[in-house]
Amino acid sequence: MDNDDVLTIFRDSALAVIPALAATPVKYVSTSLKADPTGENECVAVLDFAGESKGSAAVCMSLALARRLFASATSMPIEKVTPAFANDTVRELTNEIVGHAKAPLLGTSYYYTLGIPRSLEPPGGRFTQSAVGPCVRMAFDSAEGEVVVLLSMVSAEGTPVVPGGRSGSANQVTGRTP
Amino acid sequence: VRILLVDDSSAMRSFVARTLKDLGYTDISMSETSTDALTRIQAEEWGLVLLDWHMPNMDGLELLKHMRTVLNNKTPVIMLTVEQEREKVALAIRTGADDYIIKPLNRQTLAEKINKIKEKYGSS
Repeated sequence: MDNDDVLTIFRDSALAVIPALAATPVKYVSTSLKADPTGENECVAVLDFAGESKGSAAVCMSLALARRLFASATSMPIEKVTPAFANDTVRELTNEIVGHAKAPLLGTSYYYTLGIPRSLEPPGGRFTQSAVGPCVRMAFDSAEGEVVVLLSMVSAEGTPVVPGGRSGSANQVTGRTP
Repeated sequence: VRILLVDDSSAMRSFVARTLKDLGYTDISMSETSTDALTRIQAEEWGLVLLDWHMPNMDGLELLKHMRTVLNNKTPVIMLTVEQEREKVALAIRTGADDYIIKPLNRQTLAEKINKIKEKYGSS
């Protein structure tokens, strides 16, 4: 499995999970490497995972979008959706996207551990640090706004997972365990 | 069916509760933590527990194990989780789960699993 296969798995996972949970269709836009991937997004949730390959994934979006997604998923009037509900929606999306990805990634017989998704301090949080390594940014469009999925991952061979099948130096990346 | 929904995610609790209501289930209570759920499971009769696996402190599997081994509680339990490896599904069933739903939640799957529980235990 090359890097592009791995990224396709995460992309497809996001395309499956976001509409299912948030009742909002999304369209894939692009994949790129970003130095400051979380940008100005107010809601950022990150989840660490570890198995043969390991790393962290995050989902980022504006607070307004996260509130709309919660309202859409639960039929709650949007004026009642608090920032806490909105952040929780983003954490749950992160949890489900990584969970959905791990079976095709490693095979359903492979034992794999997931951390508990956590919110980062806005704006942007500290998802990408030099210790974590390159970060892949996948952008998705919905009628409600942009959803970004970030992935900082080291392959089973110890190389960073980046677009185009390229691999960076293994010592650029420190895989974090949950 | 009296349903206790246990999940640390408020989004997921609200989403599952809405789905259950759409399916016609109205007697729904929710717990945010396993500790709270344990208290309620000991104090009240439930027709079904829908249980998340990944929760801080005591996770869903630990709660299930406690229910079955310490409390000898036989309330039907459906695990609702992102864990989908065969070993983990088997572990949950061995621990005492009656069934297993992999997130993202699908309304039809939830309906079918609850109907199976109702047929198995004869509840309405």
